[in-house]
Amino acid sequence: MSYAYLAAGASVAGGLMGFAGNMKAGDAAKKVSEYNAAIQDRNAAVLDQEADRKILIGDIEAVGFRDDAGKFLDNMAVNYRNSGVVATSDTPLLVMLAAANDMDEDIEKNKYNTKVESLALREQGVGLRLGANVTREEGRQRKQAYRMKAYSSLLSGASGGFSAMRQK
Amino acid sequence: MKIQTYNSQAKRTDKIASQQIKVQANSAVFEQAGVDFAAAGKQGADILSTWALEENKLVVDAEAAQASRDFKEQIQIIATKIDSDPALNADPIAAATQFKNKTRGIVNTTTSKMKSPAAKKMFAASSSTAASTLGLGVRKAARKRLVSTRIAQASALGRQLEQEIAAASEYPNSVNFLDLKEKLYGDPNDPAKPGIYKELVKQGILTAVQGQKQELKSLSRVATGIINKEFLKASIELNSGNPMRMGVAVKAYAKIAQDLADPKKYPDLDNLTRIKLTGQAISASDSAMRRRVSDDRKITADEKTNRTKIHTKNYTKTLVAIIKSRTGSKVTPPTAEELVQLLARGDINDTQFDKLTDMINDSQDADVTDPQFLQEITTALFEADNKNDIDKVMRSALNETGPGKKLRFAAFSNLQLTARGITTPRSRRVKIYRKMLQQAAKAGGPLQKLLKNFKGGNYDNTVFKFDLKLQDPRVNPLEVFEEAIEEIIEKQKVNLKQLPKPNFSPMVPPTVSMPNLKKEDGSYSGALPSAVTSELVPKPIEEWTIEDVTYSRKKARSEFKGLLGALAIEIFNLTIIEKYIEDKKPASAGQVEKAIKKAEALKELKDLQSR
Repeated sequence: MSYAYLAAGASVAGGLMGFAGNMKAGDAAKKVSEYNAAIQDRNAAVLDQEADRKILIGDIEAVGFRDDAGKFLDNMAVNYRNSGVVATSDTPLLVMLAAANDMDEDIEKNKYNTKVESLALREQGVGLRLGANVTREEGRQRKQAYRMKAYSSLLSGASGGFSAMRQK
Repeated sequence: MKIQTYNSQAKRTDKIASQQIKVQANSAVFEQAGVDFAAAGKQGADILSTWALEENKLVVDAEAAQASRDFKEQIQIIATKIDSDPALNADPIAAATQFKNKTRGIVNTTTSKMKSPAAKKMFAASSSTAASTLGLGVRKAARKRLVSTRIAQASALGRQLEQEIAAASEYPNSVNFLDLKEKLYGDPNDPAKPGIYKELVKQGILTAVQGQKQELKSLSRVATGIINKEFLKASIELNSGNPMRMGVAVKAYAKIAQDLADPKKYPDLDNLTRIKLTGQAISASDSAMRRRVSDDRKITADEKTNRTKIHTKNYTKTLVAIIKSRTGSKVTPPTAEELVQLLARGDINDTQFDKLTDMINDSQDADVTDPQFLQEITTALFEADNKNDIDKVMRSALNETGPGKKLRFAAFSNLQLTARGITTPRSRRVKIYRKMLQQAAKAGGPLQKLLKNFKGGNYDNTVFKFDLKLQDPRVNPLEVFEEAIEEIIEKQKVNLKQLPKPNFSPMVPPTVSMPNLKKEDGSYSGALPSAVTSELVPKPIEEWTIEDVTYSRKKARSEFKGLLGALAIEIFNLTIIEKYIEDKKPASAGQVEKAIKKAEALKELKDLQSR
């Protein structure tokens, strides 16, 4: 067999190996990006869950606060009455109404804070989901680049083979 | 009464059980396996492919190189065959076509035998280059041969015409000469007759400059041919065997040199050839002159030997006749006139003449010629300016000839012989030498200064012998003059302080005083004497040898040719110097050794200086 055939074969084989290797690297890049994106999606879901939890806990706490406030007002009225003061009129009534008014205000403030915290967590989740999308796109692009390299290797091997054959 | 009530204290937590998960998979780590797999494949392929390609290149290169070598060898053989084929090697187009066809066949055959396509391509490129290069060479060689052949043919014709022109040059206006010139150099007024060299330019075989150069060279060769013809003429004269003709040859060579020195003569001659031919002419002239002198001397020596033999034979014969006549034999003794004739003809020498005359006088009591009167007559003859004066002198001599008078008949006969030759060039030379001889010998003359205790005088006897000897036309007057001087100074001593200065001296390195210059180790201290580096100087007269005199005499004969007076004075001076050298005591062994050491020291100094 001529040395030129050997050189041509080696060149083609080298091209094929380059093709296979680059294709494999492209697949790996895509798979890794999918994996990393899945983790980011999952982290986003956790943040959503935490946001929901914040609202739920806020509602529960508001109910508890209302109970506590009712109890406090009852105690005030009891105490007025025990002091011989009619609690349902005049000043005691005004004091008790002011206290009830403050209590409602606190309930509204807590409700607002809980919503804000929940929204912040949801925003974080949105960011993570966007990151996952980017990661997936990067994986696709890397796979595409490796595919190009693979074809280039294949062409280079074929070209080397032809070139070697011309020198026989 | 106060009743205790219970209010609940505990609160529900707002937290949930689920937690944020921080774990993230590292994508690069999961990709790495694939990336590495691809890199391994690439690297393995690269290594294997590189090695295989190198091996493949070796195989392909070797095949292509072998094919190329074989191809080159084969096309070289083809080129050689074409080059040696007379039908092709002088035809550039046919040679190139033949080469192309043959090489194409070889390329096809070789390619069909090759396995590797790459090697075939390489061979195609290299074979194409090699074939074009060699093909170009084949074409060039054929063209060169074509041009060479044409040039050689034209040159051969040109040389032939040049010789013919040189041969016909004595008649430069002859039709033949003009026709030959037109053939060679063309007619400037007729473009249809360009001549040989311009024709070559027209055909593109020579460039205009080359054509012009060739024509100039040709003109120079023609001039050289004409000069060579003159050389040939002179050579014929020189080798004619006739001593008189040798003088003609010397003159001819000298004239050639003189003509060559004149740039107006032979204007077509190039400078280098002119210088070369001038050198040849001078050398030939000098050589002919030396040969002439040598031949003269040889003839003189031979003549002397023959003359001695003749002298001895005639003297013996005459002596025998006289003795026999005295003893009563019928043999008739020679008369005084006959003896004079013998002397005049050179059949006997002076001494023999004196002895024989004495013997005849003893036996016959003959009258003798009055030497004083003879001297007067001879002087009058040499001083005569025209034929009438000569006749007048001869008539007065005749009146005093006869018994009881001052001249014997034989002496008169000799005077007649002298008178006959008195107007020839030779006799003029004799006249000058005779006058000089008399002037030199008289009181207060040059010899009185040069010789110790020399009083001077008439030396009539010497002059008389001089006259007698020169009555033989074969005798060289200068030789006789020299002999006469030698006779006068024979018993004299030369005055060293008055030694004459010769005009032609051998040249020697200057003598220098070198006290303590040379060290024991052979090196020299201090600066070299400047005299060592100077030009050669004339050899001091005190150190002259006989060889130096001979050299100077030759030089004088050569340089003063035609200058009778100057030559005679020079020969006179040299004879004095020769006498001085002959009288000198031979050098002692010590003196010789000293001289050798001095010469060696000088040589070493010169060597040292030249380094």
